Amino acid sequence: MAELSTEMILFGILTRVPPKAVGRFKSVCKTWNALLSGNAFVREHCSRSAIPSNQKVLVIEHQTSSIHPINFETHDYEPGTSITIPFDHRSYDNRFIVVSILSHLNGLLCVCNKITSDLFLWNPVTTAFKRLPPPYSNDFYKDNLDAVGLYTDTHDDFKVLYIRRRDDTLAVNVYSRSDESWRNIPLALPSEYLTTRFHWYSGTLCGGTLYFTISESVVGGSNFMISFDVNSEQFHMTNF
Amino acid sequence: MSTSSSSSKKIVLKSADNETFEIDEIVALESQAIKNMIEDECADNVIPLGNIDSKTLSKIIEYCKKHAESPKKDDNADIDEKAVEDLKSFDAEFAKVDMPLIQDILMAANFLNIDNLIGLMCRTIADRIKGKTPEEIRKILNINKNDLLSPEQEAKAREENSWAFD
Repeated sequence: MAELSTEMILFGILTRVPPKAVGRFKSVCKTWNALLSGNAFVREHCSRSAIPSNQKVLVIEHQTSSIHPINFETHDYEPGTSITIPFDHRSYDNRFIVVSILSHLNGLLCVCNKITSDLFLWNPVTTAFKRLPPPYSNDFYKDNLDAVGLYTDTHDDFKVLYIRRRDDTLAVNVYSRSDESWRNIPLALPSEYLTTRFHWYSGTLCGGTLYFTISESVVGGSNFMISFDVNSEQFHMTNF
Repeated sequence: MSTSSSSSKKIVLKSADNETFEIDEIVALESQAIKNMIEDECADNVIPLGNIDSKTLSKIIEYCKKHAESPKKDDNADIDEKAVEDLKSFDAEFAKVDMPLIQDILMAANFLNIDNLIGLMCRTIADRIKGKTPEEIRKILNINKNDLLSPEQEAKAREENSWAFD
């Protein structure tokens, strides 16, 4: 018999192979190439990959970076393989790694270089990366002031929400991966939350909403949360 | 079929090579397609399966029997782990057959709409092909020659995915 002709069946098989095989299999034939490049495939493959046994930890230390499998029985991670960061990631004297991971979604990492304040999107599996064009002429990402959150919109466009605080003012911009450009989104908050007394954490995506926790860096200080509805692009504030 | 209770009602399947298989209704219900036929009262006579040969069909019945017998997750929240493990090792053994038969089972499971078996066969094929080169895949899965990329397209696909070839 049986070419595995029906697309449904092929879809069922190929969404279960690891990422490296996906890259290789794009050369098999036209049908496979088209299937493996489609949004529906990417979505399903991501959701199947998100099972615990596939999860790995990327550790970036002062001088090394490596990827480790997780052992869910010992709740520890196992010896890993070192990984090369494919973009500018070292201090001026070349001694230290100066990038940190801010957030991740669907296998893509959002990473900042703390010296140059550049933001990168990076896929450690394919080694592909993109340096995001700075939306402002001066310094881009400041680790202690700014925050990012990642999401995909209804058209499967990958977006980076960038919240920027400078001199007690706030600016929110969203980067579209398909347009490769930034767009401003209005957000007004009480000015006290914009000061450096408050620390903003990276956004966590859950069910179409990005949640940012913000806490006052004093003992007994207040905490609150800003949520961003990725469809309506509206912000809401919740106090704890 | 005489005065048997509904739980031991029999269903008769006939393969492409005219072999008949009598199975308990509960086993046949593993197939969503047959379940629909039973509910529509279209399963009183022999069900002809003109695209499934007897070798494939007997494997499928073996699978459905085992899965029909084993306790379902939603029956009882705390079914013992042993039953789960037992089913797992059955599935692993079941999948140890050659690639043509795996493909036949998958096509038949798709036709009969047996969700778990489709998943098991897809996983099995995925595991077997994941380390192969494009050339090997074309051979193993009989990829149609008319569907090959042009040399330029293939060079481009390899270039863009060079990370996947080392």
